[in-house]
Amino acid sequence: MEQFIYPNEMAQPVIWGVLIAIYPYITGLVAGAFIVSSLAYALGKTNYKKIAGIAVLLSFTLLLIASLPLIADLKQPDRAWEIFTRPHLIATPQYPNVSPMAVFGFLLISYIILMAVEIIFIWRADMVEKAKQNTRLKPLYKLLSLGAREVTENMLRRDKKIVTVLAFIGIPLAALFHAYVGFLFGSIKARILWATPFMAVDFLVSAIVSGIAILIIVYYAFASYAKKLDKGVVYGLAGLLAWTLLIDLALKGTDELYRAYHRTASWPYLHALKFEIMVATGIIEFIIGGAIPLILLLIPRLRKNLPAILTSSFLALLGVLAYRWNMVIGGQIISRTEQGLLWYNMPIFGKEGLIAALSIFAAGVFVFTILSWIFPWDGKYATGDMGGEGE
Amino acid sequence: MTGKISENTSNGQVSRREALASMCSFAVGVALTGSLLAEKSEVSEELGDKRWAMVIDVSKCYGCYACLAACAAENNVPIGVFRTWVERYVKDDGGVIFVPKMCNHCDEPSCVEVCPVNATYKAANGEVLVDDTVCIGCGACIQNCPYGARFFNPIKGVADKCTLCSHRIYKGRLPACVEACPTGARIFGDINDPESEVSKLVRNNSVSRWKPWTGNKPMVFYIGLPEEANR
Repeated sequence: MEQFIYPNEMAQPVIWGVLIAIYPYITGLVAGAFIVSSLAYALGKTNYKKIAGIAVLLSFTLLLIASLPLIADLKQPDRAWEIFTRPHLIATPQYPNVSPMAVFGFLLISYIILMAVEIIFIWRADMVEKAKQNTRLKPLYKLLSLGAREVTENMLRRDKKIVTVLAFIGIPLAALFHAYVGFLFGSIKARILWATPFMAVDFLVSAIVSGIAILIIVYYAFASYAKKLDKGVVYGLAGLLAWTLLIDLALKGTDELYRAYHRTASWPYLHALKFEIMVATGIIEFIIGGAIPLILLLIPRLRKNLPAILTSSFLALLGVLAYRWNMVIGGQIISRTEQGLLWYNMPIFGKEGLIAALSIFAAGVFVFTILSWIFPWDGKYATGDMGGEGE
Repeated sequence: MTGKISENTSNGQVSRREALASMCSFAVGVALTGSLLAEKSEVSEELGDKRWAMVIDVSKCYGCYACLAACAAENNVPIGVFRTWVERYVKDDGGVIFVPKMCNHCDEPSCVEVCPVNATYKAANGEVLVDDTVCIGCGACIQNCPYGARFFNPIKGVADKCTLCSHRIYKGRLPACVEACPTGARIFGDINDPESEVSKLVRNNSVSRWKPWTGNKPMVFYIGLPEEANR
């Protein structure tokens, strides 16, 4: 196989590294977790009410850290604010192009505001109760109860209405926030692996897979620690996970089949990428993180077996991470000549290295700890007023 | 490999670097002398309804890399990255073809489309430029240039590319690479002017463009671009 790459690619083979690979992973978890929470808050599925609190908090946490990898990856991070102020969002005769990336800031800000308001109204009644106790955080709880001194029926009804509306608006916003990331990659027409209409849909489905998977794990950890584990919730989520995994694999399989049948000039390089260069992450994406958890969840005897469900959730999470890696890094491994392959040596240290990426997740754990300390995941009013008992 | 022309492998690229190093001093000399003599030029100082374009006659290029060195000297291009480069293809009979390449200053530049801050733009007369003071260094334009003509300037930390030497052409001079070319393989001018040399060359020759299927409408026209080089 001939190799032909451009000289500038020799100097800078992969310019979007590990940070950009974890970015769609994080936004996927945001969207997936939020959509699950909206099953309870918007669609009134009472059996998901018990995890809705965790789902919202987890989604909000990840949303807060979502911009970190992007900003860290910029060569001029101090100019990041420019995406709000520069004219590249609305087409004008002077600036006829609209950049998909320019939308990011506005989507992120509106989503953060929506979720912050939703969280305040979900936990408002709980905050009123907490503000009655004499704790050091009393002023904070008073602030978060928005002036209410007593929990009244009227207030509960109104808050619930507000939460329902916000959760409804949040569903398309969550889908947009993540599908847009797929669209952003898909709009890069110079990259053969990215430039496919499948990207946005595929990103969204795998997002829901990862969101459900992480919720199963976090709910299990929180609930079994508090000795409040409702197995029905876990079984319900596992069923959802199996369905989304199935759709995800079907979408990816279709994409692969199309490429295999089209056999464009770049096919040998696409093939070599998947079967020679990124074999390990490919196996994790399709087999370890795709087929195996799906099979585990489909076997009737294991469908209601907690260790099996937890294992498949963990594997599915790993599979989605591998998918993001294969997509972001793999897309750049194929040269823009479409006739050669590049390489990526992940830096460990530095602004764009592995440690920076891990630090972002560590920041997420920190934020989640603080948030779940202030807002109790099993708050009486936040998760209880629908009285769901799982299945 | 198949076909009439065979290409260089990675070994060839090392030798290209060596060749570049040895040519460097010579070429800088050529560029400097050239710029002193370049009073007579075909571009005017007026800003008008122009469309800058370039014609590259592949048969005239003999691979001296003067354009490359002149460009690097003129524009402070850091070592390892290239605003213009010359590809070398070796035929089965040992004959060599050199293909100079650079930013195509496309009419529909896909790089400009994706810039989130409008730091890169198509200027009045068609040249595609980057504003150093605005670029956030996200890399989207580099990803979406099908020609690999963009790179991160490792010193400035912003996207960088060929400017068609806009600081020179609006003073009535030629781009450094055009001026340095000893064989006249690069011809620069206004394609909107039917009397300009580029217009005549494009009209009277069978010209091809690099990767026309991208839809970018490149504005660098090649005379005798070998098929192997069109990727």
